[in-house]
Amino acid sequence: MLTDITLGQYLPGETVIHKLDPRTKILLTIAYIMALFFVNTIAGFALCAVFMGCILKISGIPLKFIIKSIKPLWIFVIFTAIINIFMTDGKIVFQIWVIKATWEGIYLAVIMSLRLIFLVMGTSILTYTTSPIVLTDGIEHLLGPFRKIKVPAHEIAMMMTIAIRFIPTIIEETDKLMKAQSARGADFESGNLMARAKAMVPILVPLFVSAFRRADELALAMECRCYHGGDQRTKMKQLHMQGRDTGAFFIAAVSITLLIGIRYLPGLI
Amino acid sequence: MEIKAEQLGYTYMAGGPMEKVALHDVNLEIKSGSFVGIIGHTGSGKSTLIQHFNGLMKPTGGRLLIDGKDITSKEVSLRELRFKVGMVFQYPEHQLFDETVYDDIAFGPKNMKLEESEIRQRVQDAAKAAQVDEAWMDKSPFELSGGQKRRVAIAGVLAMRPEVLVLDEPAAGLDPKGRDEILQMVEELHRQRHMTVILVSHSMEDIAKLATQIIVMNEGTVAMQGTVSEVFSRGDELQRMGLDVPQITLFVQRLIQKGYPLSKDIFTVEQAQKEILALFQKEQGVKPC
Ligand SMILES: Nc1ncnc2c1ncn2[C@@H]1O[C@H](COP(=O)(O)OP(=O)(O)OP(=O)(O)O)[C@@H](O)[C@H]1O
Ligand SMILES: [Mg+2]
Repeated sequence: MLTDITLGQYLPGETVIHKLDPRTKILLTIAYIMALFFVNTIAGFALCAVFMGCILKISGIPLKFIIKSIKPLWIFVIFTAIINIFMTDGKIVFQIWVIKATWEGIYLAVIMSLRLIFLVMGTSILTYTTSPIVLTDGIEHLLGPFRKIKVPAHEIAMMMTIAIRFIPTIIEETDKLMKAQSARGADFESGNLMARAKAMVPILVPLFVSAFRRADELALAMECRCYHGGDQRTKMKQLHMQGRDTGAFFIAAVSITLLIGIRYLPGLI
Repeated sequence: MEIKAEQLGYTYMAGGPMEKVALHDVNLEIKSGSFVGIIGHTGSGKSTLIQHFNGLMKPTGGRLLIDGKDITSKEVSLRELRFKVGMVFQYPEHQLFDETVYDDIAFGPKNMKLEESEIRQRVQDAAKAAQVDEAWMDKSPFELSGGQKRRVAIAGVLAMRPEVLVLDEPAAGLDPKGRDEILQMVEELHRQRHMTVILVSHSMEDIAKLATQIIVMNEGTVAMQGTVSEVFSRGDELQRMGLDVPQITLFVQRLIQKGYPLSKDIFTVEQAQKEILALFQKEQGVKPC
């Protein structure tokens, strides 16, 4: 049933990409996403594909997993494609009544779809190569400067860590409850929307009860060990930027310059 | 109702990177009206196995037959099967949800689409069998203690009047009195209503006391199957699987080694008491006080 879903997509590994500092990976992913919005030619995306291919090769993530992560995207891709094809003005390919498809529209649709796919590819490489805990640690550090304007960086990171930690537990619990209630003849698969929503009550009530119980127990256990957030808190594992991080920044700078350059280059020549 | 497994196998997340074979080559037969105990160390596949009995899990290999019919075939309605095979999960108190104890026990019968009067009758009947106090009926189940909640949850399963009752460690985490009450209840259901009972337990004593047949699970398959004395006479093998025979059996075995002429087939304290007292009488010719 539910347990077949793999959540938290982290694939443990020992490659350079895995070992990069999480801050480096987060910052570079953000830079990559921004750069993607500058790419608007097929040549640009070809270059993108080459970069992504290299990173995939180095990180050792099977292509299968990347394809799996972009699969749920097809609805969005089709949706944006349709809107673009029919809503853009330009040279008409064919026309049905008032709806007309244009060459410009098709071109834009291809660009937009590719952009979406590459965007998700990039972010999934981040989550495939970085464990959730390390990731939140990185986010905490990056949010550090904002503490001056009262952003509770540590608390946000702690909440994320706890939430991530409990996702598998809650999935397991939901699975158990679904089984227990189906054993008493509960039916989740038939009936109209109302009936199905009502059928969820026997799952949701015990799920909430146990989530609150767990939260309570966890809070108590944390307090018993004198946990408190805030400024004086130190870390057992300090993050340190290394040579490879500098390297990554350098390679990324060159690649992004290339990506953006390819847009303006033809105009310049 | 007869349950039969033929070369049954189950693999979690088959084909995925986290594939896990939980059951393989399981062959067994459970006759109508029997009381079967299932033992096996942690992770040996007991819970996975019993969830096949009411079709909550479908075998990924082999077959499971209920009265000769494959549960995956069209002839078998899984819904009806679930009403016929009542399943009490580990820590069943966690599944209570309704506003009152009465409504929670009535959840199963309501799903069976029975008449209101019939539902009332069944709820009262089940509550009595599971020793659910009349006074709790209008309370919220969340106000009860853990042991009380568990009885309500068991009553919720009994209210469907199943032919087969499957219990996964029903006594786990209860105090000795709570344990005894739950196990006694199970025993009565078997004796008075002739229910087929399948009991998963880590307690060799409980199994020895209640069951007539034992199935021993080890590493995802049936390692032994037979009557209580057949299984517990193979103590060495059980120990190698991380299991044991009842304490009292070990005690009696020591006495036998010392030369006392006792029977090897002693598995409960009551049996041992009777035998040892009889031995005293015979040897000394006096009635011990
Ligand atoms: N949802 C699941 N996903 C993957 N593997 C599972 C799942 N549930 C159980 N397993 C695995 O299947 C095997 C059998 O588990 P099962 O729960 O049937 O054992 P058990 O005999 O009931 O143990 P216990 O006595 O601890 O309750 C175990 O090795 C377990 O790790
Ligand atoms: Mg179990």
